[in-house]
Amino acid sequence: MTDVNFTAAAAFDRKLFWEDGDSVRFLVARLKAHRKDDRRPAERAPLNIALVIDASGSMGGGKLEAAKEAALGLAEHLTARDRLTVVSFASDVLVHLDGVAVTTDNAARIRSEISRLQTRGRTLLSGGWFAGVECAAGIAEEDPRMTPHVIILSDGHANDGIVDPEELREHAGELRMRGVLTSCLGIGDGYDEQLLRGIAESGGGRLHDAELTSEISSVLLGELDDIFGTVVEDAQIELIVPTSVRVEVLGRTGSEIRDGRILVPLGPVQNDVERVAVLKVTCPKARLNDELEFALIANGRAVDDRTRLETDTVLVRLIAVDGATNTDQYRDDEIAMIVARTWSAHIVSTAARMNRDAAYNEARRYVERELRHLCRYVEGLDQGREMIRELELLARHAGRQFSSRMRKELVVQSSLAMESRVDRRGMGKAAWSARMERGD
Amino acid sequence: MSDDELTLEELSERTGVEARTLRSWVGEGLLAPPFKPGRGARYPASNADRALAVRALKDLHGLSLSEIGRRFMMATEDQIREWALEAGPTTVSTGSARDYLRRIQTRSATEEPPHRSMEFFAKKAPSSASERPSFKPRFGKPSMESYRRARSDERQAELASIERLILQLERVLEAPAPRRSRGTVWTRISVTPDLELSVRGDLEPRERVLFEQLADQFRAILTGRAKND
Repeated sequence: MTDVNFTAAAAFDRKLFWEDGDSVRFLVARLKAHRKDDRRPAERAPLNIALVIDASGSMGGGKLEAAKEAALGLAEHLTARDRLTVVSFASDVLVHLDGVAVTTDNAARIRSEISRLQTRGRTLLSGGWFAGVECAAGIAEEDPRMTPHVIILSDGHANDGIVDPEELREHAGELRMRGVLTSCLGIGDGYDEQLLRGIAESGGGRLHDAELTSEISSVLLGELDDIFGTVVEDAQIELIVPTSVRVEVLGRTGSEIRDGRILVPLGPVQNDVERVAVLKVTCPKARLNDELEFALIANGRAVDDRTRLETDTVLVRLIAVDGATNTDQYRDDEIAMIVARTWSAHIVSTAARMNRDAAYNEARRYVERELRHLCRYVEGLDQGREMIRELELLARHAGRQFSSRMRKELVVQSSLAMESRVDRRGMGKAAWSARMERGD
Repeated sequence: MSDDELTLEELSERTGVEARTLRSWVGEGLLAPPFKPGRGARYPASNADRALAVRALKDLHGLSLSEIGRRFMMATEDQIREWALEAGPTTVSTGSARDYLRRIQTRSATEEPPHRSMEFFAKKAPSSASERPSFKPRFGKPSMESYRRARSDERQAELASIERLILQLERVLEAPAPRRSRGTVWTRISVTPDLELSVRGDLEPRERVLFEQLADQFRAILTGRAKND
């Protein structure tokens, strides 16, 4: 019997819609997991971690050395019950440690194998990743409690093996469904943030960034903390909606519609940290007092004993009303604030993707169009004005190519905002808007 | 609304393939494009069979998307329907992660299997190999060999199809065409989706790598990503 209390809640920002149709309402789904007893770290579930380290030529200049130091630092935080795999990839793939128990006896061997990593060749990311998965999944086959956590550390673009970001994202999703979770740590300014984000989101993990070589260790240990703090893995929201509505999921890649249900993967849920998903619902034409009913249920896997968890079903309704009643209705500002934050992060990450694809004019037009709607929406919200100021800044710059670092800040900071996560690089990192203002 | 047309969401529901993935398959030319682009775009219903066939060929036969594209070019609609039937129910079947990886490995048979680090460093430290007898490469050869055998059978079938096509064309012309064409080997290296580097001749692996590096440099200059790996 699991000792995790896993709950879901759902609410619309407004509960009424105009009978003539095309009203847009936002549904906020909130997930929470609470471990009933505060166990000590020594009692945590054993870990099965695979570090997949880019050793291509560009990792020279101190990056690989810093990654090795980070790997050694991570190993020091593991115990004899944990297993560690270390793989490096360049034009080839090397398995340095294959699911080794992190015992005192093995400490010298772990140190020696990690120290051997050296730069060479191109970036066979897929090969390295799959080799790491193979090792960690082998451990999980022997002991199902050992969920494989694969962490890719890379500073470059996949340019050997499988390089198509969509195909890699698809593999990440398939592996997640088979119990393998993948997080990514992008190093420096040259990595492909969209590729790593796709792998991490579909892989049930997290995207991290280390702008500076000196940040690699703290970010990798931050990922370890995130793993320690996770109580439910591979969480997913299922939503059954009336066929007459149109639904768009804000800010999450990898959502899908299957058998009339909308599935939104949310990945890991940490103890007492609320995760939200925001769905934009466009209502159909209806008769006065017609009701639209939405059913939401969430599921996930308890980290401690791997039991499948399912929340109670939450039902929410929208009611069709005449124009005047619709205009006068109450808006829940707490829900509206969550919507505004997620919507804003969605705009930022979408603009970054368009900019990366050199669609500069489209990006500018997109931000301007969304800004017009968001401006009206945030009226009366506490942080609304600041949000709009940042997006106006983005709109002014979106028509030109962003620096590689700026794109990463946009993607990483919007991911952190949408996933209620801490920036593991430290508190001193400037917001993307501050960087943009100073002309970075 | 016609039964012959489906939205992307309907296609997704029928096939169990994510809308986003379907969109990328349209981009790869595996599925037919929408009748009219834009919001609520509608696609030919035959895309459902094609999507299921892609699923079957990818997941069950371990083929890459480019290989599936080649198969589709030669296949009849009946053949595509047969592959679609192989895809089975639309719910995702979850075998083990390692089974899944094995299927992927057969697709990229040209990739070298991973080495254990002591193999790599054996030249420098021969004694280290004997210290860790427990390391066994998991990406064994049998799957590669069976893959190559399968590829060889497929190639024979494709050549037979081409021979049949030549005979049909000869019947159209009522005589064999004068024999003038001579094949030349070219190595094509993609630089960007719209630009490629073509080099005449069957290149040695080392030569090919050099031209690939040259293409990487061109790509970096053209896309302004000179610092990327």
